Amino acid sequence: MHDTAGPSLREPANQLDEKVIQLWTVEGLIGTAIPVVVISLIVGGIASQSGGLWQLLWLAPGALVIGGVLGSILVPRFLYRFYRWEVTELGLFVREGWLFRTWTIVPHARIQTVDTSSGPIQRSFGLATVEVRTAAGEGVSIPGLSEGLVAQLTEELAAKTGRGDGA
Amino acid sequence: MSREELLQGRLHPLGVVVIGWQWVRYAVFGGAISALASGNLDIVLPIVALGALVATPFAFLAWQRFRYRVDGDRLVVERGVLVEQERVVPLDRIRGVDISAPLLHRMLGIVQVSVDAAAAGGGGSELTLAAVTREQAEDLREQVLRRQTGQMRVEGQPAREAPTIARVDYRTLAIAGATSSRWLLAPLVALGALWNLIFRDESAIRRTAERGADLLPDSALAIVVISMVVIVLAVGVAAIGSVIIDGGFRLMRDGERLTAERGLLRRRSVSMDRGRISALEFSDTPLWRLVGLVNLKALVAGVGSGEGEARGRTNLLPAGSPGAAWRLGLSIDRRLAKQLTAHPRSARSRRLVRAMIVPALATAVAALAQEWLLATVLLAITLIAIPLGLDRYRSLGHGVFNGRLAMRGGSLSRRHTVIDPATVASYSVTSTPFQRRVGLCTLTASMGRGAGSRSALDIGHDQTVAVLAAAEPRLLADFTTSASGVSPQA
Repeated sequence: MHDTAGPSLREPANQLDEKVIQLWTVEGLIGTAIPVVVISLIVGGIASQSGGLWQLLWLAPGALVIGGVLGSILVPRFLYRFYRWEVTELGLFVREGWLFRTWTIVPHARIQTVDTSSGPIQRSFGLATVEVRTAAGEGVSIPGLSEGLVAQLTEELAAKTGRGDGA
Repeated sequence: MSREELLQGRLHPLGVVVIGWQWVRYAVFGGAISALASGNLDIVLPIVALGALVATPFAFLAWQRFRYRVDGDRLVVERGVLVEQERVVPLDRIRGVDISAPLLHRMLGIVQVSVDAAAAGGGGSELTLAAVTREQAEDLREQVLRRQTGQMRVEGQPAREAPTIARVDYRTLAIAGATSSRWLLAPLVALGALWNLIFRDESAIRRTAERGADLLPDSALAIVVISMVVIVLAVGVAAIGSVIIDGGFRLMRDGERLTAERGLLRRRSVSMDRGRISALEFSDTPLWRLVGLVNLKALVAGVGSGEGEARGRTNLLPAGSPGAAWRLGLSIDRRLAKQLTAHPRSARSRRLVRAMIVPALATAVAALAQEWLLATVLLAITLIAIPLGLDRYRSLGHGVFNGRLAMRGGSLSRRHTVIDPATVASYSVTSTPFQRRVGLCTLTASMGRGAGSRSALDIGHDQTVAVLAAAEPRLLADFTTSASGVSPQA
């Protein structure tokens, strides 16, 4: 289905680590919980002071809970499905997006820095993010790789970085 | 480079103070604000104490976890309190190592080091060692800069007189200024601002304006005459402005070094290395095409700690005939080519639809609402959009010729950019559902910081692959054959 639709660049070989779906779901739920709690406190304050129609305000945090939970469950699956990456002999190759698709090619020779980062939640899933920056300033980041793979990838990218232009 | 020269280190213990202060100062600031707001000075101390209490363990962790090392040909920094980070910077990508001692550092007898890694435009591009001894800083600088090659600096004055390869006379500059839309728009903007001022403010300004309006003649002829005078004045100002800014322009060439000098009152000079030029860019407007003028700029990727024009775009010819501009371009880049390939016909329909859809829909809505006057005006706008859309399509062009990547585009004002693919940091191809439906996409080439990025809008799928294949032959082969690099199975 997607092969006929895009430019005839091939698909990068790899998907992210599957655990990233759970990670994003957890992050999404946390991201939902905080505003829900805040809004509930506000609504609770208003609704306890005044009765009647004001109770309808509870619909707001309610809708937020439903939307947030559904989104947290569905969106990560989608993102995961449409994110592919690969390190080839000559460059980093990433394809992302479903409706608005982007293929990015960064030749190794033009890579400036390779950053690795992992937050507390990410670490509890044994995942980390690799971000590659070029002289153009725009970074390409690969979220949700297993820690072992990250070490290997960083090593490989760093080893290849800066080569290929003059060589 | 050999691996034995391993240099490693961590921050000075006083770094805890330095890092802690970076957080505590917010508490100090907050305390000061609260004290001002409440008029109660006693509140400052508890807030600052609380801030220090929270900040100290963080600062300690930040200090404790921070490690740096020069490992082979790269600088590695590990840090992070909650989020563990490791940053790897190849030494040859480092543009500068800046040692400084702000007040607090000076009091503590330590320094801070900023490593400009030439990466992102944002704050993330700089690596900072918050607190180290001066010896550590100098060791690091020496290790890093030993590998540096081809550093370029921009100086206020050229080293010596070099042969001039381009000049622009005053007449050309005056014509260029008078026909430049930028200058023509300036008085309009001023008028707009005045209009705003008058109709928003009911007070003195309006009364003054009304008194002034009584003095204005109300015959149509007089209004036309006054408008003409205003336009002539604006054009005159534009011509003079252009002459003042770019007067006496000359481009000098000394081997690989190009130096552009300009300015009638204040002389400015910008130097650049020919090898640092990412792209040559020819731009014009409909008026300029009419009088036969074009502007030539060099797009230069970020260099040193240059300011303003030093990085980014530098005029090689503020205005000149297309023939002269292309000859000059060719003398700077021997592989410059003027050819372009047209974009697919579907791009034309797309441009037309994009130009017309909004006014057309608005016309329909107005007609449905039986607002005939509004509908007529909107219909006129829709019709004007047709030639605009067609022009937008005619502007489009791309191609790889002589190993240079060319992209042209723009609405009315055109930009024809000829890029050296060796300076392209990354390529990206994007496609929206609408583009995909008609076999189009957008190809973007990002050059170094400062030089920016240029896109080929609505280029055909097969054309994209052809462009990549021609610009980066090895690269494309790599992205159409099977993988050989890291993979989860490896």
